[in-house]
Amino acid sequence: MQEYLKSFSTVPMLIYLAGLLILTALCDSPAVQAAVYFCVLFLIYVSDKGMLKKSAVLAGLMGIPVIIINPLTNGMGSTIFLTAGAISITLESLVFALSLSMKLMNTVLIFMLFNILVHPDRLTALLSFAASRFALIISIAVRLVPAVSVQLREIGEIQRTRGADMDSRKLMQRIRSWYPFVRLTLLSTLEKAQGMAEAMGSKAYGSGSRTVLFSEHLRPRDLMLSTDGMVISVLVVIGLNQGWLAFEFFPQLSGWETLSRHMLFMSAAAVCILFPAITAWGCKHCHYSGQKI
Amino acid sequence: MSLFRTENLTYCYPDKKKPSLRNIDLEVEQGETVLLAGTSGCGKSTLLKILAGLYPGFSGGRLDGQIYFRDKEIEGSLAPKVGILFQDPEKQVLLSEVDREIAFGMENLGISRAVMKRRLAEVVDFTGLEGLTGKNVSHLSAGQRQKVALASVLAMDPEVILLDEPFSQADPISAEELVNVVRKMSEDTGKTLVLAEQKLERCLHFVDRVVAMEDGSIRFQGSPEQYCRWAANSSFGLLPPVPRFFAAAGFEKLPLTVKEGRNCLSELKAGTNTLSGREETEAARPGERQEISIRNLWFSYDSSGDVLKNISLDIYKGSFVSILGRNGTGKTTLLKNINSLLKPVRGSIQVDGKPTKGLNIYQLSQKIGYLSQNPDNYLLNDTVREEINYTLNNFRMKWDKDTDVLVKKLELEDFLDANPRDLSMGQRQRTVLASVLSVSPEILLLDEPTRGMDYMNKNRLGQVLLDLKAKGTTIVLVTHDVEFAAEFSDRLIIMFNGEIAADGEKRAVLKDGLYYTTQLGRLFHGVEDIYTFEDAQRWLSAISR
Repeated sequence: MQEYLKSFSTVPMLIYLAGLLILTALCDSPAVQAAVYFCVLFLIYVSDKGMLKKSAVLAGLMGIPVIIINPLTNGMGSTIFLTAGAISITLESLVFALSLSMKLMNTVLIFMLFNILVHPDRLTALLSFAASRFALIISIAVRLVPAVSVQLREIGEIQRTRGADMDSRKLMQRIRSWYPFVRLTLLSTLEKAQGMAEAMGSKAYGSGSRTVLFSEHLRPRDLMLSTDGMVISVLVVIGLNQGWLAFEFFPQLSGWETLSRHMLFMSAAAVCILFPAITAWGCKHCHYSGQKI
Repeated sequence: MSLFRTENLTYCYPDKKKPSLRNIDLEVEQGETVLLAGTSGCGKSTLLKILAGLYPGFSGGRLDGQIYFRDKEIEGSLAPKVGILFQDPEKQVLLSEVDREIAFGMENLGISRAVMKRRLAEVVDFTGLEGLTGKNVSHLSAGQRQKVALASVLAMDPEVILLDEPFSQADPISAEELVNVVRKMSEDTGKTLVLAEQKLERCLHFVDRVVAMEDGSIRFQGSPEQYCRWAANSSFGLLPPVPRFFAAAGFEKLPLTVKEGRNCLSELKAGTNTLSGREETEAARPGERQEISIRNLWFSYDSSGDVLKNISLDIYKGSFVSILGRNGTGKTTLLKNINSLLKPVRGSIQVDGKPTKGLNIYQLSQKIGYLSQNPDNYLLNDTVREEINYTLNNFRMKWDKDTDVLVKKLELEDFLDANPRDLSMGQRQRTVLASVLSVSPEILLLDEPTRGMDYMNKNRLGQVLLDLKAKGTTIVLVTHDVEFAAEFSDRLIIMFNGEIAADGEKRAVLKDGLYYTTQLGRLFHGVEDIYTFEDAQRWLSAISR
């Protein structure tokens, strides 16, 4: 399944991910946001198991503070959920914070999915049609970032073996330990950049107009994914326009009737979001379909 | 007509008083394969970058004298007529996918798609990269990455290819594959090659001419046979083990390869068992104290698979153990498990009888010194003195007489106030070693310490390690350098695919080796158990008696 999910062309994948971003950004419904959250997490899991924990932790780090701080400072809503001294937390503000943090977490998760499913070289090739120099700089930066991150880790490990207390609880001690470490990383990055500049020079970069060898081949699966991305976007726009996706947080939460409507939309959205995984599963179990699309 | 011609070429890096190249007069003919031989820091890489037209454009500094390519003075990069392969593929590979990296140079030249497609297919076949196309470069081994870098140079179809120590990052088997590609390039394509290398036994047999460099100057130029004779009678030092042995045996014509050497060997009195009385080191020493004890160790970084599989191992106090094996086979991971940089998934490790499970890296760092692959990752400070003091301060220790002795032994006393990053590779390596040894660790873990080092620096390092061993320090060394391991360690472990494939006294392990044996081991295969130059000298004196 992993191979199938990574086999989509760049443009259809960008259309699909754009659909997910539109859904996350424009839809306030907690039920729909929850559907996006779990579906995207599932897609990350099937695309790259190793990234699941990292993605969930990163999204959690962004979203959890919102859930904690917002209800404490919001003060809106009419249904008291909890009172502690002078502070009252309302059910409405709690649900609002939950929805807000899920939006944030979903945005992070969609970008993580983008990182997994969109190959940087292919994106660069796509961008190079519009701005070749910019695309190349992006491409090299993309190549440099993991190299620097590996080096950061290595330098950290080495300094620990030399007895440097880089995990000290004392802030000053920690800053003292980290300062030379950051300096060394910057120095090494500059040396790496110099090496890359020499490598580019040796490969005739900037010697004249460029040509491009690789072009993307569009297959039926790419057309299906583009359609899926567009269906998500259209559904959101129609849903908002018709008021199907309207959700009130204040002064009181929308009733069960709204929620049940959202559940219906949520089911449709989940099928659309999981469409690549569903087709991947289908192709895995039916080689004929796999070859055809 | 010469392809390259330099006249009185002198080059000085910015902010340096001493020139890195001095009065270089060199001619390279079309179709010729030239080997630049010399120790690290002698100016080989600088000369190659100047020939490629990259320096002084990218580096600054002052260039005097003349340099011509096809009788025209060089002004800027000579790409695509001249391609250059750098020592470290990490610094050369620009894109993340193998095919795109190979095509990058061609795309820059504006070559048509049809031609690019054909060339890509051809260089992939030529360099043996089938099966790796479409793969992410960062997932490849160092040897494979170097092949990708070479393929991307070849794809530009240069007239001349400059190769800067292309085999130094690869394990013995990958290096052998790369040597074959370079040899094929030299013999089948007729391209002009200029190759800088320290491990001469890899390429001496297929080059046309050797240029010996020392301290920025050319000391000798001639055929490989002439070079061997000259090097054997001079203080130059860079001579492969086979010709070195036959020079010591008094041969006039020195063989360059193991095959030629075996023919010459029959001329010597090939007595059997002449070394039976020699002193042998013991690999396992039951009854002595186990410094490191590993039981059923398993380790994996993520769900992608086990990197270490059921490793059980005892390392005794005061022993010198070398671990060999291909890239990615788990050697470094094993070292990191020993000093608690990584924690075992299953199994146990005991250091000095205490399990490391509850201990962190800080608690073990004074007991276990660790020297990683890249010395530059240690150098945080502005002077060598500060660098050593940094480690001492971390352990609340002070510079004392022992530190002075250590600095003297590592020949660093003249550089204490120099910036370590301005020093040569060998001096930097010794600075790092001084900083690690300043707190007198009982165990020393070294990860590829000889990478990029010349014979002399390796020998100096080996002697330091033997001194430490004599004082009771336990040494565990990960290396691709079989010659170094054979010369200095007393036990060898070969790892394959996360498991121990061979473990024992060094001669026993080397005896059965096909690739993991020394040049002299191959020369004497089936004749005598000789693996080092010292062994061979003893054998010579035994048969001459």
